[in-house]
Amino acid sequence: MSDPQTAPASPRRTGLRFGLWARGPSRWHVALTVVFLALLSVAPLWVEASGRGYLVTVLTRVVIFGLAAMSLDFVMGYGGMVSLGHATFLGAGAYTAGALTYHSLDGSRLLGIPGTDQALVTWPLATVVGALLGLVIGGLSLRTKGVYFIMATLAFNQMIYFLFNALEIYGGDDGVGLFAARRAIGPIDASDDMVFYYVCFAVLVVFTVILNLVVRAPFGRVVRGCRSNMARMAALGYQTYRYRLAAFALSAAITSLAGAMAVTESQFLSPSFAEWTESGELLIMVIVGGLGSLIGGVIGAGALFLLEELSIDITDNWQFFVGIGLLAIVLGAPRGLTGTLLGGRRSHD
Amino acid sequence: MTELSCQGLQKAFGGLVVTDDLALSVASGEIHALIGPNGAGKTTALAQLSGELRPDAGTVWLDGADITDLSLPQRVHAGVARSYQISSVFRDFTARENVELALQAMDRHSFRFFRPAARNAKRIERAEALLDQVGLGEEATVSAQRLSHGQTRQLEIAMAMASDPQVLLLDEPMAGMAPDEASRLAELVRSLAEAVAVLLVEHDMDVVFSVADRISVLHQGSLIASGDPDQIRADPDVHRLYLRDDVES
Repeated sequence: MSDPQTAPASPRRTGLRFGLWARGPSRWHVALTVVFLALLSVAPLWVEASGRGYLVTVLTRVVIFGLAAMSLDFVMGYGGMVSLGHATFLGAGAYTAGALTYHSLDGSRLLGIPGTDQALVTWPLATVVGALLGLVIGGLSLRTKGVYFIMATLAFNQMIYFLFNALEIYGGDDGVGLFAARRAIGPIDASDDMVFYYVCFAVLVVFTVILNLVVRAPFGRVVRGCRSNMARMAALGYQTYRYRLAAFALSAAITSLAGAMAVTESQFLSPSFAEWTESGELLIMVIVGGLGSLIGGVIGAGALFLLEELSIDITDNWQFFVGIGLLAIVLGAPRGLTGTLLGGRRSHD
Repeated sequence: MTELSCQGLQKAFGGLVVTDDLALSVASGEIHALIGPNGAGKTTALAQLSGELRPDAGTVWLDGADITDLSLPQRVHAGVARSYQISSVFRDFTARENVELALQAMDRHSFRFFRPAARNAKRIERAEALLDQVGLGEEATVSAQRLSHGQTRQLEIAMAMASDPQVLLLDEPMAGMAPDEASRLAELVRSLAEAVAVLLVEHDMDVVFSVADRISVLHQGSLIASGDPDQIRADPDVHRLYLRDDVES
């Protein structure tokens, strides 16, 4: 007990008030997160300087879909809830922000509310809509287990997808362009791709910090315990359903925010945001990046978009090469890219 | 003085009656052992007392209060904790984190999102005290999946004790343990029983007859005998149906 290695009972007061600067094995994970975010902070400057400025929008998509994948990893890698329906929330966020923007363009009203293309309004609203939808869908889906949970989330995904398809006002299954809209984030005019990238990057940083705090907090421990052994959690006195539902809603809210950011980025609203293959793509990002690491979702998004971009240059049959690339990663790095980089070190306290 | 009791407990799975008009009680300061052949319904009875299974009929009381409608987590908060026959600790947590998680369950809620759990010095201290108590003090920072079978059983007890229960339901805590480990654990259970009511389901008859104050014998879902170890040893029905030559010596 007196061995200093086994007795970190009295926590040291470090400079940081919150415990992000983890001690012990997970500091490697924190270091990896910081390094990757640092890379992302300079990446657009680098691609622009090297004369490939068109890649800035690709990087923006990495950041946005990385945020969605990260929030999926939160429920999947930490909560053990494999959702094949996160495109539901991506779509919900996209349609919340997109619809408001659409109505601001033609001056009409949405349920009596005037539209707006101000992201300070549309993005938070999309987040709230995502949380509420997450409570409903999670509330019902979490009554099932295992494969049935996967199927339940997929079923809701399909329902929402066909609902969006039926919204003739927003172009039905064709979708609708919103190119005349501003990209305004508060006083910031983000019509410039570079400016918009850094806005999205800032959002990603904020939620990376928040989610990393959450998984180390008492709430996160309960969520992780539920993944490990739900029956035991109940026997310890936890009302597991509540905690899992809260985690699911939090994840849905963040994914929905990413959906709103994505529609602001592409300025095109269509049901493809909510297509179930999009759910699958988020799953792939998480698995490629490394389950249960948070930053792995962003790394996975980076790997996927990079593979896409590289193979589109080479051939029209780019999906074939993306497939090969993914196989190589899954076979060569069975714990995902982060798992390989960290050599199996723990990614939380 | 705490007492957990049940009356008229009834449970059937389809046509198979697994608990038949069961009445039991266990009070603080005593170890009440529940024995019986495989399939007698011991674990099912325990599950109804702990709240995992709803009985088809009957009532469970804790200190005179009807707790039949309380769920498993609610009963834990009321003071009834259980351990499992098959060790079910959290394998990707350390021994101490397992106990911390058990302690945290006693907070009013765990909707705390920002302050790191690993910084709760008071809880860590409590967890280490519990680990010391069950003899796992040295293994506090060892990952639960690296613990030996016997150590895992000790960890189970520490986790069950974390809720500071008045009643402890132990489902075969000695299963698969080496004899010397089992006797040390028996000593531990004995010492816990000074303050807590212990209902013990156990197959190891040596342990049962050495630690139990009272023994009840379950056969096909109903009690066929109940009494102190000597009475049970002498009971002809128990011999015929269950003990045979197990405790002849």
